[in-house]
Amino acid sequence: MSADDALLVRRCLRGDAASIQTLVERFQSNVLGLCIRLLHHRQDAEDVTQEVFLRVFRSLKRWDASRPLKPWIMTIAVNRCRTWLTQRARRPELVEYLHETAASAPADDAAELAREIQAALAELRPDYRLVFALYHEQGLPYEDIAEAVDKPVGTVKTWLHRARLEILERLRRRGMVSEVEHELS
Amino acid sequence: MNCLELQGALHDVLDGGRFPPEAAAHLADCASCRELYGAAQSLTHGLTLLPRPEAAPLLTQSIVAAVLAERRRTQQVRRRIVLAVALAASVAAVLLVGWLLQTPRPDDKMIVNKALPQPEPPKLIQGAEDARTAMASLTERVAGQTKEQAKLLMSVADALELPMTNLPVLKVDEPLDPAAKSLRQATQTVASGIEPITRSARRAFTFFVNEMPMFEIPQKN
Repeated sequence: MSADDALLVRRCLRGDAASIQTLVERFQSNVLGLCIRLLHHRQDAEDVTQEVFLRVFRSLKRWDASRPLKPWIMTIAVNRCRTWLTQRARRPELVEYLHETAASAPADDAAELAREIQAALAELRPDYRLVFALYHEQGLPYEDIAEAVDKPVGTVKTWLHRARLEILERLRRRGMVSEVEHELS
Repeated sequence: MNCLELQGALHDVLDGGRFPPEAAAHLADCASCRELYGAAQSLTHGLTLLPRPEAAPLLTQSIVAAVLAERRRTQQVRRRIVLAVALAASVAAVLLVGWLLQTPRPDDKMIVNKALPQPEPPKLIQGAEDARTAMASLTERVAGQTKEQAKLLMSVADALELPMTNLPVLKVDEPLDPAAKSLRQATQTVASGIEPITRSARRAFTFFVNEMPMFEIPQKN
């Protein structure tokens, strides 16, 4: 837990507008990144990001100051994304959303690799994608991910293991493989 | 090391661990695992290339504005709730005070009852008993006074030594002789002595009649 986070939260609870803006700026990219990863649609992701922060400030009093702030916020983000996905599944224009984020593809190899990884992520089962994004993109430890997705740590490890294998398999099929001999020497 | 163990080792590396030395021998012999290892290296590198989403400049302002607006709404709602509760409490307090002022307490009622004892309504039997006692005492008084007057008359008669058998017949129209006059005066004295007694008896009887409860006489259809 960061003492800075605790101090920031106390100021936010007092209604300090500058502190509220600081907190939003501190975690906005994490929340937005996760939302984009899970929703595949920037506009939806921004809408959900706003909802996430509204809920964060609504329930900021209930935050346990002895625990880190980021996993708590990411848990709220995960729940909001799940709710959004459930609601969106009932809407007819679902097809238009798919792969929108990965559509703009640069031409160089690095960008192509990034695009392939994003495409592989998009094809993952939502649970696997969520766990992969929380671990590799948001940098959360297994315990915090388990709390965020409300599953045991063992389940989280299993989902992450399968997500990696599916992505690695796709990269291998696409020829996105590094030279092993050089790395092992 | 077999392929399955190498997969486990790959995940350890992706978790930030080190690749075990014995894995190199397996990779040298297994092309599939070698490709998998190469893909893992690409993934590790590619994750650093993933674009970090940059929030639109207006998004931050929009979020902050939405948060502040919601806080203002929440505060307004709280203020209204507090105001409504205070108003309701005030009304309740006024009603309570009014009710307390209008309703006498049990202690006050006892004090009033003690200060002003309510007379019990007279009972019929008691009233009849009182009337009987009054009539008896009046009759006894009248009898006593009559007896005193009779004694007085007897003593006058003894003094005159009048024969009791040859008493003159009194005629109303004739003027009374002195002795007769004295007798008449004695009679009037007795009558005037009896009058207040009879008047008291009449008052007592009237009181008795007035205090008696009224009885309704059922009417015949």
